[in-house]
Amino acid sequence: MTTFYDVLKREHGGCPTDCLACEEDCAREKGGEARIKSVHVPEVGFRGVVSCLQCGEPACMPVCPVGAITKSENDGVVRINESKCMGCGLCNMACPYGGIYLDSDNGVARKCDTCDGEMKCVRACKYDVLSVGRSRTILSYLDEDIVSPGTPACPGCIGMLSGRFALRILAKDKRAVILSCPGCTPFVAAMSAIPCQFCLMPHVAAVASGIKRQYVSSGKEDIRVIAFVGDGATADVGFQSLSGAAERDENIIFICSDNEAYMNTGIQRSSTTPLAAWTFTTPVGDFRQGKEQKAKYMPLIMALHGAAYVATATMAYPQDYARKLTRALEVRDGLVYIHLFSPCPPGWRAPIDSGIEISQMAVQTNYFPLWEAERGRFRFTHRERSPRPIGEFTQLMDRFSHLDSKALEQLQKAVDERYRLIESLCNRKSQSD
Amino acid sequence: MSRKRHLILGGGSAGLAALEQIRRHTPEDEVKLVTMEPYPPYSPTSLPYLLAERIKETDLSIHDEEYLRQGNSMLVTGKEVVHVAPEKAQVVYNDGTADNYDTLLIATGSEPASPSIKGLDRVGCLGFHTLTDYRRLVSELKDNPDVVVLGAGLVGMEVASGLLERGCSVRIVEKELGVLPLYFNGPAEKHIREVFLQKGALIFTGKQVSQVKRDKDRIELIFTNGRSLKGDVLITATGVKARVSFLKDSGIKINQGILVDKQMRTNMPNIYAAGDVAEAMDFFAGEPGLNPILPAAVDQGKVAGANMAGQPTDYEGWISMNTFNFFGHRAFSAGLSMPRHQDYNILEGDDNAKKQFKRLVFYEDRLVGAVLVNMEVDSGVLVHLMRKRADIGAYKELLFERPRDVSRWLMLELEKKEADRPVT
Repeated sequence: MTTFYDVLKREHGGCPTDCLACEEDCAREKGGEARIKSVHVPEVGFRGVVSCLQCGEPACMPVCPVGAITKSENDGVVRINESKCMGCGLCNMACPYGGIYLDSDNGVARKCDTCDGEMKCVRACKYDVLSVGRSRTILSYLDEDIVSPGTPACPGCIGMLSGRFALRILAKDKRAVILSCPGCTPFVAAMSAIPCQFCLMPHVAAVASGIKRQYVSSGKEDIRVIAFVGDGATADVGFQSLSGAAERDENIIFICSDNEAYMNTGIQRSSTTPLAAWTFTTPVGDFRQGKEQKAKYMPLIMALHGAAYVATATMAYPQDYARKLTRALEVRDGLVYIHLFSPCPPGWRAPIDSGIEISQMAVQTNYFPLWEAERGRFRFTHRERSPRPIGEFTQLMDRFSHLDSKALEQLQKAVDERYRLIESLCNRKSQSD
Repeated sequence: MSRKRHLILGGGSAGLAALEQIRRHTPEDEVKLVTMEPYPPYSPTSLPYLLAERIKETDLSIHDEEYLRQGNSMLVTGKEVVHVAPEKAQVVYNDGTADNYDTLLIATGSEPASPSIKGLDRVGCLGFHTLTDYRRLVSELKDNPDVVVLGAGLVGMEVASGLLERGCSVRIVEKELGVLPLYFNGPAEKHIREVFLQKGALIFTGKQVSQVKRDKDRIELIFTNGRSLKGDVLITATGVKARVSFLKDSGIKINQGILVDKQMRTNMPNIYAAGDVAEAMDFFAGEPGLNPILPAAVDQGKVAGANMAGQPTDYEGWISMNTFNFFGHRAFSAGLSMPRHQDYNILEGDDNAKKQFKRLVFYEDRLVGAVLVNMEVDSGVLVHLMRKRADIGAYKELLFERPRDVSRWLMLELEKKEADRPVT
């Protein structure tokens, strides 16, 4: 499992010319040379700091010939056993970031140990160059699972997993109610330890709005109202009430677990079913080769409502997902919409243990880009350096097994077009800032 | 998914790095690490420090044995592989037992390459490659002997410095014209040599040995120029070669080392190689070559391990690099540190009094090599700039003037550029 730790965060440059506060306090705390180092290049007007980043996979650790460097599982800090260190300097040669060095007095390796979490340098910094990245707070949400063990869902259901994960963060204190409707998603609601309300597919957002307003008018503004439903109740049958709720700025958290078809009733197309995909209502045969229309891109439609917070997320990137859920908790003045990528192994004709792998590949091919938008200001939360071709995604499931190279090309085109659109929206934001 | 069985031959840095990756990616799989050494894994890099009495023998182990045996890992010591049979996915050991594998990593490292010198095999010379070698050497040091070190490469010079720190009298013999000929030349070599001379070493460079004889208790080295040198103990440190003899008839392709692709795969299915034994991609040359150094072994082991665990990972290629610490002095060399071609742009400076030297080598706008003696600099940051092919164009002089701060700044700029990379 991914573990989160508190880390020292540093801005790129931005130190005033005469300030050495972090170095001075570090030297005082540790004795001798400061372990955080100021970097001063007046010729280019740069002044900043370097220090150990407490890497997840520290390059210094495996090159130590005597195993004197270890990373604590407890607090993530990389520490040196100074009595074992022989001063060979290989750690300094392996570290790309200047985070570990040989002490000029006694020749042993030294580095930042975050003062065991105290981070004296951060306290010393008056200019917001140094701060603490509190990713551990995300971890603290994961202690308790408020959904009962076991699952009535199909084996390998990613929707179930994503819903369970969401409630750990959104409803940890149980100050929340959850809404659901016919489909696959009621399993999460019904098995959770918070009150749940079932309604029909067209009404979810309307009923959620009403419940929230009732809580507000009775002085319980802090009760969160969460809707956890599928793509049918979001993009098709439930669209009207959701659009209205977004327009009215209702303070509800609406999560769409998108498995890209009506799976519960036996795999029929929905408006989010992708181009060329097989379902029982978009068959593959002599006259048709899967769905002939492109998918409705629901998260973008919601973002263009100017909703308070809109994000795409997947279980394959749990840290990103957790951060977005944490952000959702903070929104008090409007609608939160989270669009989850939820592979359905039986419906997509994929191996039951492949859901996470498919999710990863969906992101890596830009089929499902990860982004967020606050009141129409867009931002990528993850970018692929070199996106993989869409064929690497489609080959993981049989609903696309009929695709020939031309169909694949068209699907690639649809993916690229959609990506470029979001990209232009993200770039627009940076221009206006 | 069924549990896989991964087998790692060799307990050096490459083997351990691979083990770590396999554990990380597929903790449910079984990993067995087999080392021919009778001891739990240690690094030969630490032996000169042991000789210099900077560390104790109890400090040598890289990991607790318990750590290496926890989970689904197994550690077997004192077992040597004699045959690999890819068609049966099997390895056979010297005790007649055999193991089957789903994936196999050959990380058997290197062994001393002894030079063909007449009489060398009869005089009882010592190597310095294993803990056993170290123990044998120490037992010979009781009567304060004159020690001759044949070979002034890194191992030879580190042994020499360890012996000098113990107070032994040391003579160093090298066939090339300078000490550490693969890494240093010019003023850098001169500074290193002078420090050794000050510490009492006698250095004979440019001396080819034609014959070695035992004369009563002493060993005599006869040079091709007819002169000779005597000592009580002879240590050979004339380089290493890949430990591959057991792979004869295995069908695994070997040049100077085992040939591997970008994912550290050999030509045989499910067999990988990494570390000193592997002939992997040279970062600058773009073709395979040997580079028997610890950081390269770790990198290759990581890549092999990740691929064995089903995480496709490519190796970027090795960069030659070394850091040499002697008597409180530090010398560092990386990349194309001594280019002969005129297309390279070299900035060089020397301070004889402080025994400082710096040389930066550029190719077009990129840093491709560095030599620094007694300079305060983060060597890893310079290597990072080489590896990332950072555009240094306008800042070459600045980097040369103040390498430490400017390299750190360039690294930070690179990092920022990665984070803000415009979406294209």
